[in-house]
Amino acid sequence: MTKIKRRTFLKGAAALSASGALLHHFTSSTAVQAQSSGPAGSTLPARSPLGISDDLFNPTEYSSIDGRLVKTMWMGFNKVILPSGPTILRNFNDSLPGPTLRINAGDTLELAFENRLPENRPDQPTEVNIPNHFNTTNLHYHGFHVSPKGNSDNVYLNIEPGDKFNYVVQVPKDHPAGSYWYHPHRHGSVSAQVAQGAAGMAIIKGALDDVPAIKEAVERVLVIQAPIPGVDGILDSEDPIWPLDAERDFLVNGEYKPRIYIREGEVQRWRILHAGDAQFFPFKIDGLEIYEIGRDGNPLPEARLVEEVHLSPGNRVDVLVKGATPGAYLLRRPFFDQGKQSLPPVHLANIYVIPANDSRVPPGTPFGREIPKGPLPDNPILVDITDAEITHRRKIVLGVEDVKGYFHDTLFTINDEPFDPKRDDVVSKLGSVEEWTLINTTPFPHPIHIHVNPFQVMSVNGVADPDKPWMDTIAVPAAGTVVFRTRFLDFDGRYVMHCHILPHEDTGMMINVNIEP
Amino acid sequence: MMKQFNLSLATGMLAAVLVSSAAVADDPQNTPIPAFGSQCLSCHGEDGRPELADVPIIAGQQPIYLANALRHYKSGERTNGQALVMQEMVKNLSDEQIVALAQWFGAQQ
Repeated sequence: MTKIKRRTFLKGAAALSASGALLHHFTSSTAVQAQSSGPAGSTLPARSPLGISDDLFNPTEYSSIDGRLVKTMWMGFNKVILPSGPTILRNFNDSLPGPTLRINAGDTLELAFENRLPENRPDQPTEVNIPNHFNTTNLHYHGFHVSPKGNSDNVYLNIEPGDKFNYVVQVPKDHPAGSYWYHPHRHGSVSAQVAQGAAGMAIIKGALDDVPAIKEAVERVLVIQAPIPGVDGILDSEDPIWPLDAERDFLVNGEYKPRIYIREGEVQRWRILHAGDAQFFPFKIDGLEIYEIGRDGNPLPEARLVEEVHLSPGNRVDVLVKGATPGAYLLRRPFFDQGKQSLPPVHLANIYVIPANDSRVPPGTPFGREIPKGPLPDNPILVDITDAEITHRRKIVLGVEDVKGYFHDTLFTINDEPFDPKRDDVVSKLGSVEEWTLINTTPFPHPIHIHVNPFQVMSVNGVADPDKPWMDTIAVPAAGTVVFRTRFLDFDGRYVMHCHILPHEDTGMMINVNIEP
Repeated sequence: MMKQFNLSLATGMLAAVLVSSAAVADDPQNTPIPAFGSQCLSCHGEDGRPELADVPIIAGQQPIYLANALRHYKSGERTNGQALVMQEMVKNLSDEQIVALAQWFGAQQ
């Protein structure tokens, strides 16, 4: 009882703090450092893009120099203060979220990765689809069109406690520009680690960035997460993250209900990443205009005024938000049903529209005012896939079974089988172009993500999407269907497709895709 | 009355099924769904009233209509969109099982 009162008190304290500054100063040890550059990568400390001290900070940012981004990344224990109280999370670089990576197409990511977590407890399950070994990890570059092999985007790696591993990820010169992200992807511990906030944004520059109206706008990075601590300290069980309503206190860039400032008449560009573990995050800002300009990093045909933005775990969205009459506005997730599960509203952030000449904003700060009119530039290699191109069609059935002996007696399946790391579920050839129909036989939506190659969404529940958007994560509705098309280009090798409700992935909803040369 | 008439029609057509499902014939509304139909309940609800907004209410629906719908899913005559989900659900059901399920849902009120 005492504990509950203390947590309630702390939650109230965080809500009352000016901007959740309590949180970001605690979690971002680099915040006081000046921008620094090394031979192959610069570091921009976490900061408000408007230079206001109690404004939401963009996360610390690592940028490439002369075609290379060379940095040390690590997974370790990170002390944070969550709305529910102080705790210790498994995070990247002692930071919640991890630093933003910003590179150009054609660059090479050279990340010296260290697993600084302690040894796993000895009593670990040996069954592959029961969550296990929460201190073993790796890195996945979500949405990147890069090699899945060797020391690139290889999610079959087990980087054990104390081990070091050098990732070298060569990003093609014609890689689509956009907002991507990174997170651990070791089957068995991915849900636990992402649920604790191990994730960060990864930006590949170009396309939308060069539109004049967008270029002159202040850019924000918003990483949405709802870290789940262990019951009495470090999370060592899947139980606290298993229920769909386990995520309760949603944060932006590690802050609880932060302030976000916009000047009157200003248009800001927000890159938003949903790095949560399980819950969908539809959101709206009552009283302010939101224009969607890109999904999963890829531009929409034109800027679109939307009432509500829809994100499932793993999705990114690029939006323009316009400051109207000075005053306070609420960024909130309304009440909604995720399949059969009702989920409560979330008050995510407070938006403050301030006078255009607010003296706290330093002179020379960018001030966008326009919503781009007409077509937005597209990523040139993402060309519509025609009927004539299709070389193969597949049916992918998502399911769930009650099986005694598994975690909560549950096995999630794809085509009636739980994940088996040794089995090739899809075998295809480099250069093939396929149409997949995803059929969800469960009463909950599943956001399905495929590595290495993006796909073009053709229809949802049989209704054609006129935009045919290119995405890498798409929610297959409860008792519903999605049809997408994809090209297997440039990279042979094995990789995976899985549900991005990560407890589902860890309990079986993943397949191997083997692209032969 | 109408419902009873329809049920008796279905019953008459399905004597063979009902021999092995005597309890269903006795009091179908209060009888658990046959084991092979348990998968239906996750989307259509324990009593045929779903919690999902885009899944049809089939409690009390005409059994002949339900049986024909299931047959058409199985044969592939009903296709696309959410019909693909139903194709997966019915692919391993026999015609006798289809009729028994149609009768069970039809008897729910």
